[in-house]
Amino acid sequence: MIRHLPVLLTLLAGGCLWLTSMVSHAGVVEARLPSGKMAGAHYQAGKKDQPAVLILHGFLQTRAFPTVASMVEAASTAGYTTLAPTLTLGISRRNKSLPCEAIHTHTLDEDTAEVAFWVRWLEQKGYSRIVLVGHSYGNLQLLGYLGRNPAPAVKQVLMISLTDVERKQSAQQRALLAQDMRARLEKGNQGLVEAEIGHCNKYVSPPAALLSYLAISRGSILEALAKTSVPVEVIMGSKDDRMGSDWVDKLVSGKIAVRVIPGAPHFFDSQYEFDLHDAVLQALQDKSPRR
Amino acid sequence: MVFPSFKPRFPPRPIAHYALVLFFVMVTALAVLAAFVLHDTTRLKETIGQTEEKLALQELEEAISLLNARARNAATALMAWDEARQQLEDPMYYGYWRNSRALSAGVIPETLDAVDLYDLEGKNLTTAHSGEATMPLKINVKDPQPFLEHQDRHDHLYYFYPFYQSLDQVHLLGYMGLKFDLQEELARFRRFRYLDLKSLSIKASEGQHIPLDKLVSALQFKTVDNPETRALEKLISRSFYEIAAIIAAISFLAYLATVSVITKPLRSLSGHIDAMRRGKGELLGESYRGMLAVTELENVRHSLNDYQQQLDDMHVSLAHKNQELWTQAHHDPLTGTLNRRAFDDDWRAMHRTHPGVPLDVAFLLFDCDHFKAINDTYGHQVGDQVLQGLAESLQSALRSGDRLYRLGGDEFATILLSADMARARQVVERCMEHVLRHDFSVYWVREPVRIGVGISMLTGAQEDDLQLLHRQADIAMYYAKRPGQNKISVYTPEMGEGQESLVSNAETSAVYEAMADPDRLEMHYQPVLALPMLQIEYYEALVRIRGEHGLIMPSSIFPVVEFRGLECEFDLAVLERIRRDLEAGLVPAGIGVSLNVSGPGIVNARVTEKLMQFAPMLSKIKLVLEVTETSLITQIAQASTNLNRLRKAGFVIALDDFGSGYSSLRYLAGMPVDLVKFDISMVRSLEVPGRQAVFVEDLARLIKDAGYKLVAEGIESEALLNRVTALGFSHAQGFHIGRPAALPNPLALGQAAAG
Repeated sequence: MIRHLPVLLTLLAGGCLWLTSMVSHAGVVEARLPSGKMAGAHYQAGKKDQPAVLILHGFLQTRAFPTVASMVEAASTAGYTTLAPTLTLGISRRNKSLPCEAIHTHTLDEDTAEVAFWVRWLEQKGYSRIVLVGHSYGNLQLLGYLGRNPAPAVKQVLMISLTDVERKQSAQQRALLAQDMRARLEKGNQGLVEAEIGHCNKYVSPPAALLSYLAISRGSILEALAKTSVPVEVIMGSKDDRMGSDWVDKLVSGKIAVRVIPGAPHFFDSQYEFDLHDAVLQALQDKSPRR
Repeated sequence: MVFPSFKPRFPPRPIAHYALVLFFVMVTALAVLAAFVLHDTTRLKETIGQTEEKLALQELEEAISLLNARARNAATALMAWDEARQQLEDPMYYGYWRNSRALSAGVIPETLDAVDLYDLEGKNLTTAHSGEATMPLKINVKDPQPFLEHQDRHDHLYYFYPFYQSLDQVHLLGYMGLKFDLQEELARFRRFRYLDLKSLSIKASEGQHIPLDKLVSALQFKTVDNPETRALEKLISRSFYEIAAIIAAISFLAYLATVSVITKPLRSLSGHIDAMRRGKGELLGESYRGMLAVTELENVRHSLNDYQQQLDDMHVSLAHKNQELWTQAHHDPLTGTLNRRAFDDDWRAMHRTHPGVPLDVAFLLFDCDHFKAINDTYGHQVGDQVLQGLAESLQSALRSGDRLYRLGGDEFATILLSADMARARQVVERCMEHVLRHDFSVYWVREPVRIGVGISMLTGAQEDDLQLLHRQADIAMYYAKRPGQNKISVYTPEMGEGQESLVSNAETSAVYEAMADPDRLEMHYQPVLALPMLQIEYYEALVRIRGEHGLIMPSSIFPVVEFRGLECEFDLAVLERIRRDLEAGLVPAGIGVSLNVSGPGIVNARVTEKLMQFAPMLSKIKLVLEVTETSLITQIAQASTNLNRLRKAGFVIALDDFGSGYSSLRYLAGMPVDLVKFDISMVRSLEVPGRQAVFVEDLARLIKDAGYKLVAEGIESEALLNRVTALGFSHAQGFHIGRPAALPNPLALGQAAAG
């Protein structure tokens, strides 16, 4: 036993160094955006041979949203480096979901810029393979980023519960609202508007900010998917109530790889959480996603 | 045993007074206790009030402290709110956020009156608001202290805090202000137990700022009306009144118990003792019964009853003694009948039983005939036996309810109530029959024993009429015993005339005194002529008694003597008086004296012996012994014996009052008589021509022819004197010849002649 003591001490020292490295690469990271606002993200370093996974939360949510948080944990556990930013939505160090009734001065472009910021942050960290994972409305911000000449390190995009923006609000309604916003802007009216958008029945926003989100439509989504050079796979729940009955078909018809989890709702809660994790990890491991 | 003397300070009072005093003392003590309880209750209320005031102040301080904490919490929450931080970074839409978003998002309490954000210089992010939500437009960033401002009847608390980028309070973004309505916030904040929130006010002028650390001292308030204190007060008050009622009830019950257990028994005992005292030894009828609740009183009751029992026993013993004495005092020891005392008592008792009610009574007086003679003849022992036999016979003849009294000597009486004459006679006849049937011969009495009965009836007799009844019965008795009567006589008013001497104390006393002292007798001598010589042959000695009011004549003397049965004694006295007259030489020499002897006297040995004392004088003077026909007939044998003896001694025997009674010639023939004195009624009949005169003349000749000498009484005229002389009477006597008169004393005459 005494003869093997130096070996044991050597192994114990090596383990401690490894744990120290892990701790130093895990936690909340903050960064000042070009706009001057402070943004935060949860960063978890993973195995060097694995791609870094940037997981973006849904509309007005934070990285602490359960679906996102559990997905981060699953990916981290699987050895992937994970980065889960919280979009500022115009508020420094925002750490709580923003109610629909709050004053939404943020725009889709600003959201997209923040995604780009965090992709660059990963690149600066040395990650050459980045997988973007979005949930719900976050997928639209990822699509916006993909349409902005995304970084070469972005190798894969997983879109979970890709939102059908016309599920509750028809394209015509959205067009009329957008027209109203444009008319306000033309009049120089920067007053706050209460509108129905996404899951919000009362969304308070200046006209310009609202108008940026009204630019998204089924067509723009499918078009963006079609144009992107990064492989995209969509994971949907068959019971997603924010999805039209033909939404998956439209995606499939747009040659988008769609993985449908039977019975799963929009947020993949309860037992479907593990199905989602399995699907995500499976997608991350799949080098050649299906079309 | 001598009890220690005790001198009470106050005069004795009934125990009920002391019980009442005790009751009032207890009530007074209760009132004092009530005053103490009320005083203590008031002090307790004051203490509770002070305590509640302290507690209310404590509540207020705690509430304000918690309100401060609440403000700090709200500030912390506000500082952690992204949207608030958003406004400090970009206040473009601050007005919307402050008015529409800040208090409705649920981050900070909606009950805040207002919330405002200030920049790093302390300037409000907006200047376009007013009204209730007004907040200071600028704050002192160097010392943003909270304060209270009294404004429009409201007290508002203002809190100001620095607003940092994060909770680490490193990066200051600006400031925040919170505004509370003090009363409303406290009311929402908690429920006060002691503090009356509605009464909360502040001593401050409009718009004055009061620092938070001086807030409590500036507040004015009242304590709530504590229901528990009030309930406690009510409980104490109710308990007190209940206890007071209970004590009062207990006191009253104790008073009643004292009255029932002590006062009443004591009063009863006292009353019982008073009754014993008032009764002066009389029996109370019953002892003090019923067990008493108090041992000492029970012992007293026992002692009292024992004492009463002893008194009763003594009383019964005395009553028996009294009864025995009464019996002895009211009964005749010889005959066993009631005596004179009982007679008087019964008479009074009758009238006491019927006070004021007149009674119809019949008074029956029984008297034995010749009892003195029986007594003298056979001795007192036989006399007593005769009286016993009479009493027995009379008692057996009376009804069970009738009472027989022995009034004295041989005199018995009874009183019949509500009896008429027929019934009285019936009773009398039954009595006489019973006496007649009684065999007196067992006492060796040879003569028949008879009784005479005097009856007096009185309607409406009063208590004072007893003497009257008795006197009338006496008079009737006198008549009943007269010769020829049937032994029963009912009083009539006519009997009373001239018979007052029977019951006159003066005559009776004179008779008795004369018998005791013969010198009190005064003899009057009436001359008797010898016919036809017309010479005084002898004097008839006639007795008088010198009374206080003059001479008492024979008509008043002899009823008393005969009624009282004093014939023999009176005869002896008269004979003694005559003897003394003869010895004194009052009767002239050679002239004889006629002596009257009563019927009982002629058969009496002592009288006979007394007469025999005259025997030596017979040689010198003539002595005539006059006896009545009645006396001879009654006891003719004894009378004859005695008369024969006296005749032999030299006495001349004269039969007095012949013709007034039976005038039986058969009897006359058997009597030892020398002279026959024709009664005045027969002599006077000679003055009237007719059958009676013829009959008297023939009778005179017949008796004369039989060898008797005749004496005519009542000669009040010469003609009558001649007539009797012609008829052959040997002697004559009457007022025509000479009235009875006292003979002069020869010694006195001699002295007068010498003088």
